[in-house]
Amino acid sequence: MIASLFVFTAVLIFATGVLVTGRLAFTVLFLSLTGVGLSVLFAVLGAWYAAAAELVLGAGLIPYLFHRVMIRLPKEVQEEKRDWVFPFQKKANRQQLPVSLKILPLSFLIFALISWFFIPVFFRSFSSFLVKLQSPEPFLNLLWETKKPDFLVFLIAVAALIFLMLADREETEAFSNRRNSATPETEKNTAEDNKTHTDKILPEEVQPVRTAVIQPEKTQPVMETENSTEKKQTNAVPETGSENENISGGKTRKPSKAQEKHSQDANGTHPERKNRRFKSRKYRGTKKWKNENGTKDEGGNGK
Amino acid sequence: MIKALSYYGPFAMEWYFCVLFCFLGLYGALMMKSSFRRLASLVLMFSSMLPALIICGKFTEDMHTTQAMAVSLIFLQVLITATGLAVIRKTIPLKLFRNIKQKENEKEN
Repeated sequence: MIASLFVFTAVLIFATGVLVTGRLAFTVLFLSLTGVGLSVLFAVLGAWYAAAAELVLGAGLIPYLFHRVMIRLPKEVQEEKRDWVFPFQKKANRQQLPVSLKILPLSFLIFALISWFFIPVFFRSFSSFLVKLQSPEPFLNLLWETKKPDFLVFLIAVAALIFLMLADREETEAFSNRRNSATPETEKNTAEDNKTHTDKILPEEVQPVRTAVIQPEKTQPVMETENSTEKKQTNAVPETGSENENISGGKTRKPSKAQEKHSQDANGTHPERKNRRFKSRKYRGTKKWKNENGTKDEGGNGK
Repeated sequence: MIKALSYYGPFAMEWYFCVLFCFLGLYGALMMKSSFRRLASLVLMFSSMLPALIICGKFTEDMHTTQAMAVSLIFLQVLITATGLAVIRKTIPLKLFRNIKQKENEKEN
């Protein structure tokens, strides 16, 4: 008898895991084992018809379980099965599982406490209901007369249960709203924004704004030397202009390596990074600095 | 606690678990969004109610009435189980094989 009761309790504890995971094969296994365990329990208690019926239910599920386990699905089906969600459940709802799991241990503890107080009224009302089954009194009156304080405890327990369910539902809905507000496109955009700007090629519409930031006015006074007018022209499109002819001896000057790098940077690198480089004292007045700005004072053209 | 356990005889722990899992099943049936989990929760409720019913019959020594009620509960349980399994059996393979056929058609195209 103790063994059958142990089987029953163990199987029901296993059922909690089944409910949390929601695996199909485990659930069928749980149903089958529970049926067999209950049939043993009923047989021990002398309820033969109920034991037989429960055994049919438990044993009848074994072929289905065998069928599920033995069928080997092809690889494609198995891959699809991983992403499969139970009917009427959206895939996004899978994200809500952790929220439910957060509250599940707490709810389990509260249920344990509630059920501890609920045992007396459950036992007394049910047994007295069975005894007075033929009595004309309504069930609620019978329940009320058996034990009033226990019935109040029962009402309090139900109220606590409803409160807990509402709290869980609100939290779940808030979570789902948060998930729904973040659409896949915005998520993608934020993921791109989080990347470094060096990895990202800016769209053409954004480029003029960023290139304007690259050449701040603060750098201009530093560079105002003999070739100040020349600098302004070099930043423009290198066409065959009069001033450019003076510099390069009448020929159209090729853009220096530094200039090429400048243009690349304007397209590729982050403007603030470029600014930092311009402003830094390290390059001020050096050969590299001047070459970057197109002057030919010291070597020129980066040679 | 020990007094309360001894008061209800050798089935005290079973009473405790029955009520506990009945509440758990109720919670699952009301809160779970998946229909499969709801059905499993209902079955859990029935499974926890059955031994309570049988033990009540044992105490009241009215096993015939108890068995009649228990068998009717088992019948309901079988109905729910069959419905759940039928729904699952019908939905899973269709969805899976439909996706495979779509992929095959895409590959051919």
